Amino acid sequence: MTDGFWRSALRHPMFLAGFLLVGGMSLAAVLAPWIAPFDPTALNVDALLQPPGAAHLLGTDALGRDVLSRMLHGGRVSLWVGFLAVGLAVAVGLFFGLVAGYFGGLADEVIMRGVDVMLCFPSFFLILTVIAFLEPSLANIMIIIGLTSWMGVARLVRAETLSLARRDFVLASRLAGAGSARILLRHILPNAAGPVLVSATLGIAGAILTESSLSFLGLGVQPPMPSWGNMLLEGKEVLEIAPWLSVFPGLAILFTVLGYNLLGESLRDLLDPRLKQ
Amino acid sequence: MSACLEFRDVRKTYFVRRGAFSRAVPVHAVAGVDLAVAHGETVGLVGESGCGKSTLARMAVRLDAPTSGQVLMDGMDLWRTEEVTDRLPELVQMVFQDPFSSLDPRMTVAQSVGEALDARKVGDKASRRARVAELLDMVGLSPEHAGRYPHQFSGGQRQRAAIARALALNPRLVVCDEPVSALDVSIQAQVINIFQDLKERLGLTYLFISHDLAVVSHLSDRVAVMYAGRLVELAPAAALYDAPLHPYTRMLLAAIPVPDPAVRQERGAAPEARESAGEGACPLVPRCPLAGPDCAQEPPMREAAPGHLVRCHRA
Repeated sequence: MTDGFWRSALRHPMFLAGFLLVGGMSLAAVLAPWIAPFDPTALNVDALLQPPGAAHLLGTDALGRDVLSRMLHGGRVSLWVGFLAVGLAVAVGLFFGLVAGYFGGLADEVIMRGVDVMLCFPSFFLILTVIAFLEPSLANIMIIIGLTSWMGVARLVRAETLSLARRDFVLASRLAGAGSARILLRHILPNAAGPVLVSATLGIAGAILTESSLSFLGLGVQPPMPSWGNMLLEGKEVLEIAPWLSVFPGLAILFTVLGYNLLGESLRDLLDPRLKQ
Repeated sequence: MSACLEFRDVRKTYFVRRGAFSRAVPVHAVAGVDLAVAHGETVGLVGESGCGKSTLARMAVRLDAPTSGQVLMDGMDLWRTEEVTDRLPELVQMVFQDPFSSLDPRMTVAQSVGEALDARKVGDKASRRARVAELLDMVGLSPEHAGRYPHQFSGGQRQRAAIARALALNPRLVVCDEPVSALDVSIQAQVINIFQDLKERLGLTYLFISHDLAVVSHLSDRVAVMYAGRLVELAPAAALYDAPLHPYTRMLLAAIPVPDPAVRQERGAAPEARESAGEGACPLVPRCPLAGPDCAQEPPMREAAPGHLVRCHRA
């Protein structure tokens, strides 16, 4: 990523919109402990179900907790889940994709049939099933989302590896005496990084949505720890008298997912070498 | 003394499926090549696209295994002698046709040129850097080019970098697979001069492949002409140009453009023939002006003049 990349990126409206959305949301989440006006779990019986106002910018919930503070802290959950689950998915997908694409033969056959099997299960129900047996902690959720979403990366990396391994610069490297590890890490991985980055960015949006869905069903992040998903769940009960409890977390999910999707789609354009020249 | 590189009855057969349900058909990319390249010699290999030149080149550097026959380096079989496979990077290197795909776009030129030194753990960091600078100088690139990426270079500069990379480990044999055919004509001459210069300075041996006889003529001691996976003529460069014997060689020579409108020579237009010549026949029959009934039986190579081999009944 060079100066040229940033120059064309900042002139790309979709990238700019996604970058600002994702950047803003991430910054708010990272700074949550310092900028949140209240403790996200502190109860206040004097201010139950307050509508948005001067004291509580986004109102309070049925236990008198400040919605804005809970949302800022809930954003941390989304950010963690997004990055760690996708990080795990990319690591697993990269490993299997590189091995399958580079070594081919039996390894390729076994790995890709494994991918096919994994893709057979509707992944959300697979996650629900696994969660039913495990304690629904944040760490478990991240691991499970990660382990059920690596298949796309694996296929992508395998395809990239297949085409890169036949390129002349890889053959030249082999003739120079480079071993498989060197070729994979120095030549194939850097050249396959662009498409992986795109799919990881889009994957973060999916992971955040999955976490929110799980938490909404009560199978994700457990109260009192706030997450956008379980805030929606709590807001559902009082939707008619206190809609702000549902509207703001819902909007946060919407804009974060939108931000990552815009970012991913624009990276796809910006990193495509065919469009560069 | 054994030859630097020797092909002994080398064959390479691919099985190609035409359509999903048809049976795989054997395609003989290389159909029995005998060729020896002596130390310090440059052998040019010419022929049209698809005649098996590149397959032969890939077998010479051990990227492909022959279906049958032997590829020997200093008399040692590339696929059966561990001694030679361990040392292969120091024995033979290759310069590829397309300098746009033969350099890693994400590596600087210095990294690409020095990769072999890193991979083989030659010397320490400082001596490797000095060696890279020396190599860049040898091919006419300046030191400030070292930190640049391939996309900042012209085709000619990239090909110079690719040549420098091939020389990093001081190989004796360099296999050049159409190294100038992707370059502008004005750049071709410069790059050919680099090859010439390096050969004299370093005593290199080249197997120089091209589809362009004019390019090969400048560099080669001997020229081998390949057609349909076989050698059809092998002769010292001068003899091949002055007295070509095989009808296919004559077609190739006639196809060299003459930069003089006054010389409107009779072009031996090579007929485009895709039908097969039939089992056991000379493969040139469908497009050969001299073909006769005896050509249904392909002749062996014979020595028509001292050091001048040809595979034709009529020559």
